[in-house]
Amino acid sequence: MSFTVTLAPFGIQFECGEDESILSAALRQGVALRYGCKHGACGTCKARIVEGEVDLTQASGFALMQFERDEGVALLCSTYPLEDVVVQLEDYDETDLHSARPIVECDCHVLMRNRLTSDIWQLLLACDRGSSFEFDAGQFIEVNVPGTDEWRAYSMANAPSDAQRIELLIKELPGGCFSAFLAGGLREGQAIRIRGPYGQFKVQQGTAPIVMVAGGSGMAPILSMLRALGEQRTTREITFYYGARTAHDLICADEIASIALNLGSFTYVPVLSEPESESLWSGETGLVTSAIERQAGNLRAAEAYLCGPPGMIDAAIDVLKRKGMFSSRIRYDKFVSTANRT
Amino acid sequence: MSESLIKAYDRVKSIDWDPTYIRQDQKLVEKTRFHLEGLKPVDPFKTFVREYFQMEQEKDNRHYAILEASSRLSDSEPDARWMEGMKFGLSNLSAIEYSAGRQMGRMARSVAPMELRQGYMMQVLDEMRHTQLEMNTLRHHMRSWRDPAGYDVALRAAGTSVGGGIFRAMCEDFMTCDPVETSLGLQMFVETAYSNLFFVGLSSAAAAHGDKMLASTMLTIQSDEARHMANGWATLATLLQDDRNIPLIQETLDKWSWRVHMSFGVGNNLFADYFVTKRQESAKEMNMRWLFDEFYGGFYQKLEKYGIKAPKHLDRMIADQDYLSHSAAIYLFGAWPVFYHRYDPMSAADMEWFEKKYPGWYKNYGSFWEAYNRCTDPSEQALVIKELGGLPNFCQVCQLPTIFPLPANNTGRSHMHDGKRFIFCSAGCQEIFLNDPNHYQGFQGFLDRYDGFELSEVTRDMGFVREDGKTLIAQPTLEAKRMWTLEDVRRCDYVVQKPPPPPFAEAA
Repeated sequence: MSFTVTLAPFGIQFECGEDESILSAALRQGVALRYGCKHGACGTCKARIVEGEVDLTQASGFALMQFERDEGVALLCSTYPLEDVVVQLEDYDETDLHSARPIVECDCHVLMRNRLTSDIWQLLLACDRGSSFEFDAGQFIEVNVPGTDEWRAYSMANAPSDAQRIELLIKELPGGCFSAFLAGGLREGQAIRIRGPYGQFKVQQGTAPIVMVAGGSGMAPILSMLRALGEQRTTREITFYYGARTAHDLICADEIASIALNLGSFTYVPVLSEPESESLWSGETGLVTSAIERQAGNLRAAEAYLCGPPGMIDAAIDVLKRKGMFSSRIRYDKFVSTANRT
Repeated sequence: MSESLIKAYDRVKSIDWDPTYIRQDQKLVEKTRFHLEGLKPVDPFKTFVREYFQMEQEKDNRHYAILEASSRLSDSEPDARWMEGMKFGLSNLSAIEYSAGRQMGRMARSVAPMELRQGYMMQVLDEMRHTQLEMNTLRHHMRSWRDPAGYDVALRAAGTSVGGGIFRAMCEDFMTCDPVETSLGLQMFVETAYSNLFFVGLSSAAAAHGDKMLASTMLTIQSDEARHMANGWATLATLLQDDRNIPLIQETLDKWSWRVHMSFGVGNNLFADYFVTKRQESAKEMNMRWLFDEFYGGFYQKLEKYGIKAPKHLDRMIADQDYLSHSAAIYLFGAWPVFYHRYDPMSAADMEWFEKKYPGWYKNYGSFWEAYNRCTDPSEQALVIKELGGLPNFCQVCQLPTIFPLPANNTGRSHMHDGKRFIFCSAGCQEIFLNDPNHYQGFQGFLDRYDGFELSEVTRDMGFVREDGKTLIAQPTLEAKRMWTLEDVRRCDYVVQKPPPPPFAEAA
């Protein structure tokens, strides 16, 4: 059960679960409301509820006075909606809220399908009638499985500037409904519907050195980020660790090499867990995390972007923290197959 | 805020005036090295005085109703370790709040454009309210706690005790440094970086130990802190508009991150680990989450695009989390006769918890606690401070003893300036001194005053003696068969002596 929260006067809407505070629902969905203590004591997140019933019992009596409660004022960190609510924000600029891009549905058609490895496909879509689809590098879309009500989530691999196209890297899962369609029924020119963009996995502006870690089709959002950073001709120090099984699984090697020409300080570290013949592979072997362990120095000032299976991400977070990285600077997108999601 | 209120607020701002009876340069007695000309101040919060007072009055009404009720209800007794520790803790906190009020008055007078001045002025009133709340808590505890000795001298003790000197030196630095530094140091570090750590930690610990008074005091104070953080951010955001300020901001953040680490930060860790019996998170765990991940990891990143880098000694500050509270505790417990509360030594259960939360704790600190426990009974005629070889040196800047990170492996160092030797606890404090020697070189510390005093004379001079004129306020245990007297201390024959100075070292 969830309720819709509307932020007036901007009309920004998001969903809030019944055991979730308005603040945490907003932050989870990329709406940057102001906050301080997050537990009802400091008053930074004070705002007025103009419509709808809420539960405010967890707010401190000092941070939220009775006369304020009587006037409908609430602390959003300790406010739990009991029905759909409208919150009146004061002293906010819409750009302050960094509101997520609006979610749109877009009709596309298949430009090309290309098998990159034994289990990863590249799928290129084009927006119909030359329209464009706006997103930030690192975000994902949902793709409708043609002929069904099923939607599957995939991250874009193209740069946001390349907005008429959508490039996806899709891992084939045995029995997966989109995978089956990709391998079988899909043809070029076929109509396909997408919606999005979703997600908060985005490169933060700044100067901090960047560590990127990906495995398998987790390459996609990282590639999009690298492309965008390349277009900006960034001089930030970037190290990208990519884990694959064999040398055949090292996808997008040419793209990475050409993006590298535009990056001021870029190191690509492919790591093979099962190199077929040690004599031919002189690079890192083992788990991608052990390569970080060996190669990275003190990462206190750096930030990280991780994408791939949950096990890899959890292990990478441990290594990065041991190397001194602040957990607030580790951003990730865990790829979980839809079958396991619920 | 509705449109009419915003208009009203702008109208209020427009009735500022220039006095005719004093020139601007006479009014701005203090100069700042920051560039403020032509900057457009960010308005931190549009609050009218009328609403401000309504809000603060209701906060006070609620709080004092709790005070009143609590003094009439004889409910369960609070935890003794906590209540004794608060004699030291609250006395210093009240002094810090009072000084914060003075600092903000100075800001409002010296540097503030109209938009920021209102915020600073309200903060002056907040800080005065907080000081009084804490004084009233001291008074309440003095009347209700079973041993009032120590609470009765608390406000004076904050000014005279060697432990209070750490916080006093920090506050005096705030009040005498460049006035813009005051905002960055106080509002960005004490009130933003350490705020959650302090308020969440202290108020939940107070509640867990049955100290409802302090829990309520902390909650009513915390509800003002959001405005203080907003003041700090507004000041910083204003300064960032002029590129010439960037190196000055960097220098200031480097200074105050270390300065607060070695004062307020030490106090925070000490209280969280050594004045509690109902243990939850360790000081290190709380620091890693609130201070390092959220503030130095998250908040600082917002400054990167202006070219601001992480503070110079951040790695050491993080590494210190394994030692800070424990080394400070050795000092505080070791010097017990010159304090003004009863100490509760660490029990086997405490030690087990420390070893779990801080692996290796016993190896570094176990021998101190064994020695301490041998010296608690006055009939043994043994003072732990004497058994352990006397007092260490003190840092010219932060006034902490030079025992960090570990007493046996400390970063204490000497430095010659103008033909005189100065002693520092660390490279961080040495750098602060070197950047502004005139600011610190006149500071007199504990050893300057008491070198050559027999220890009971120090206690007597400080006035930490009970009503009978003989018994010490401080006692090394909560419940003794017999309490220590000045005569007991005198018999141990420990004379305060300056130890040999540490070796010379260059700042990093």
